[in-house]
Amino acid sequence: MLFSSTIFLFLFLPTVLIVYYLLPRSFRNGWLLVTSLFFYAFGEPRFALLMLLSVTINYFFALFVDLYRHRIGVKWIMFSMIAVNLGLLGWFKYSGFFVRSVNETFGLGWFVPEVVLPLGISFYTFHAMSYVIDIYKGKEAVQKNPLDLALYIAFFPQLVAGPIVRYNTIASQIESREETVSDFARGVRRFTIGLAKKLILANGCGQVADAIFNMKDLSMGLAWIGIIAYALQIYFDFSGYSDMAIGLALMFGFHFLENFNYPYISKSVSEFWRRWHISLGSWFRDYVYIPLGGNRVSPWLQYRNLAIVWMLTGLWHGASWTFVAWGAYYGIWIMLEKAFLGKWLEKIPVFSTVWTLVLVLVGWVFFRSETFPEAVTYIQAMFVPDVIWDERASYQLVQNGVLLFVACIAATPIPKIIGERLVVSLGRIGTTMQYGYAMLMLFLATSALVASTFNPFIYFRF
Amino acid sequence: MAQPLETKNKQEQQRTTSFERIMMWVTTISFLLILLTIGIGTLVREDRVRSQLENRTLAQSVDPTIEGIATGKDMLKMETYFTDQLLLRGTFVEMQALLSKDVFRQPFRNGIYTAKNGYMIEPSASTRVQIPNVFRQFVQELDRPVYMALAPSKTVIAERDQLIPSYVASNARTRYAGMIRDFKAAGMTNLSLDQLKLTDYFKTDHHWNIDGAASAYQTITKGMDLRPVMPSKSNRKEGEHAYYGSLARKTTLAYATSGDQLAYYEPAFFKGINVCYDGACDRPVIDESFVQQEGDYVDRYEVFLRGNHGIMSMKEQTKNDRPTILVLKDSFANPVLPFLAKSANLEVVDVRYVPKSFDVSQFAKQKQVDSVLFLHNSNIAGLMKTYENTL
Repeated sequence: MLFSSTIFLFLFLPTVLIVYYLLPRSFRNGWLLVTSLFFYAFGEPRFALLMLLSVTINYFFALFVDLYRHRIGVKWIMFSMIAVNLGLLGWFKYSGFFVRSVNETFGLGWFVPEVVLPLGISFYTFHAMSYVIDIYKGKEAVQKNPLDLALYIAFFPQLVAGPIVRYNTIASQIESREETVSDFARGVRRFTIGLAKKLILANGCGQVADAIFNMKDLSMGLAWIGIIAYALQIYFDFSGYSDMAIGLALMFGFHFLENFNYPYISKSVSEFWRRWHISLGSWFRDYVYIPLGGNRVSPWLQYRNLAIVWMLTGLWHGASWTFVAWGAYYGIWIMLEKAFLGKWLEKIPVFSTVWTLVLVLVGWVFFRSETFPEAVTYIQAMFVPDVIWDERASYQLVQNGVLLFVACIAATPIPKIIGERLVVSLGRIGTTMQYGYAMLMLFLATSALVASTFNPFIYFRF
Repeated sequence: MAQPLETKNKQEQQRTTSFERIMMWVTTISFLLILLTIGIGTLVREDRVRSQLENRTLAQSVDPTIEGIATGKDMLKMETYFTDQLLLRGTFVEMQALLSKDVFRQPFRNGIYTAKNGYMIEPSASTRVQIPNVFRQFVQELDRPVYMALAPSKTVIAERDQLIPSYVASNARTRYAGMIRDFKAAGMTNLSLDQLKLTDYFKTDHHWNIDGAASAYQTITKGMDLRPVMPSKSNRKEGEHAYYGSLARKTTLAYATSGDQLAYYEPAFFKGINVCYDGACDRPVIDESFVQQEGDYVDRYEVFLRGNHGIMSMKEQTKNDRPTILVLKDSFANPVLPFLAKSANLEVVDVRYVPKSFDVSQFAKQKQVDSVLFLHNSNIAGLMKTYENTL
């Protein structure tokens, strides 16, 4: 089920909320677990069993880790845990890609398995692994109640597209939390803003990007409009989804950490990744980069660590060499910034923002393109074009210029700053606007949902 | 007495806080109420079969099967059903169109361009389709005069009048000219309808209006050597409700600056024409119920012959000395046929609505027609395959 679907909005969500608040406190987690499983099984019932298998395996791994933490064998338990989790993820997400790559490299004809990717497997596998690793590191007490662990992994707001919520963030909230009207109302605001981001801005920009990426012989203008539209689409798609997840969690009294912080105003690529998909970046930092030695090793080893992390980041996003290249691309820029570029960029603030934005846009070309030649042709059109401007670019500008402009502004902190000032200066009128605007967003987003069949969530394929 | 500043600020803060708390409750309650009202309203309300706005059949409730649930197909169907039947669906669709037009200032909506004069145009840059050889064979084998009256689509006229912005690729004129060339080469006599003006078309629909149809009738009678019988202006009537046609349905009313007035000639003028289709005769030539019905999206164009029918005959019983014409047509012909039936006996075939096994040549011979008239608009590329099968 998608958050941006009518069944979720008008049947599932109100039912879950009303029953949740009618139930005695001790039944609420059980209700959330049952409804989360229904939420997941609604679209892909057969994969619900796979997710439950993942929960069960990691529940026992954590118990064993806790039980044998002072014995040498605990490392083997951890090794097995990582192997099993990555094995599951690898089979469902990477087996086809791996065999195809081997076949192409060595000219073999091995059978390529056609494996369907279960919804949200990248997210719940990372949830589960972080839980066991945190137990191993002694950051959290082991969860003896399997249903509570299942709720942590399967909780529907973050189940299929994140953010990657760490166990230590919500362990205590699963045990005991206080639901307040303040949280609920804030949750409603956050959820409706996320819904509007996804359905109005992301889908609107997505139509522009799709149209342009399907064209041939792009002019420079068209190529830039296309990639800007795609950058806005992916930002509003994913940050909108995170907003919805955070908002929904608040309605049930859970507090998730932020996942985005206006990434397109970053002054360096390193800063971009501190603002973009924060939960993924910090996951790789804490569970891969730091265990490899992080910054506390020699410069060359640091670069090796960065290379590993960024290749994995690319691969996590998709089973394709273009994603690996996209990860490597960021890895290289981050290494350069670490070596010398970062210091230079600090001295030229406006240029550094523009520079970073251009690098990010080029990165999105690799991310969006199916193949390398496609990406190279697109980048050529952006920087060394045959034609600067054409009528197709004029059409896109006239038809979608205002939408893209609104989306560009909405991707910066400007609306938030103006909104906060208005609320303060207008007093009660401002407060009324602050909450009334959430209802307006709900109506506008529902309108967009009903009016349009164009409704793909990009991040679901990860 | 004036209060100390600090106390006043504290009170203000308290008031604001309590007001904000009220707003929080209002937000929470209204959020749940909106979701519940729409959700329960959709479930409780009787299912609608068809959407007038979208001119399509709406998805109906699903009887789930184990296989359907296991594969997730039934859930998808359920989602489509619920969205199709959603309470206030039409209002939401209109609201989205309003957002596109007034906030995002998008001149195009679902591929339709609304010109400054209110005319809705559907630009098209599709590739030109060669007419199949079967037309040439049909003309040769039939051994009777075959005429082609190909109405320029509204897009052709809009291109000619430079109503479509220069940045929009549209090649309707080229395709129109190419098609006429092809039909002539196939041995048909072209009855040129190039004299048509933009005002001969509806603003919000892709069809021509009664003036366009009357103009075409005059060209056809002249070209086919028939006696034209034109009604007087006093026979002309207009519906009291605005007509929003196919293009307005695609954009919704948000983009339609004003509706059209659907004009027609009163039924009395066509008295004596016996219309038969679907095994029954004495069908109305003009069905005024379509102009009298209330509703923004009523398909009022069906006032003419109640729309399209696979096989239809139109004859004036008292006039047996007139030629019999086989008319192969699309919906553009519907307002022309009543006029044409005053000049000739008509056997009408709309190949979109006949069985695949239908043979037009056989039908023409069986009905002993004197001539054949193809009466179409220039957007018939999609019909070529059907003609290939039926001619």
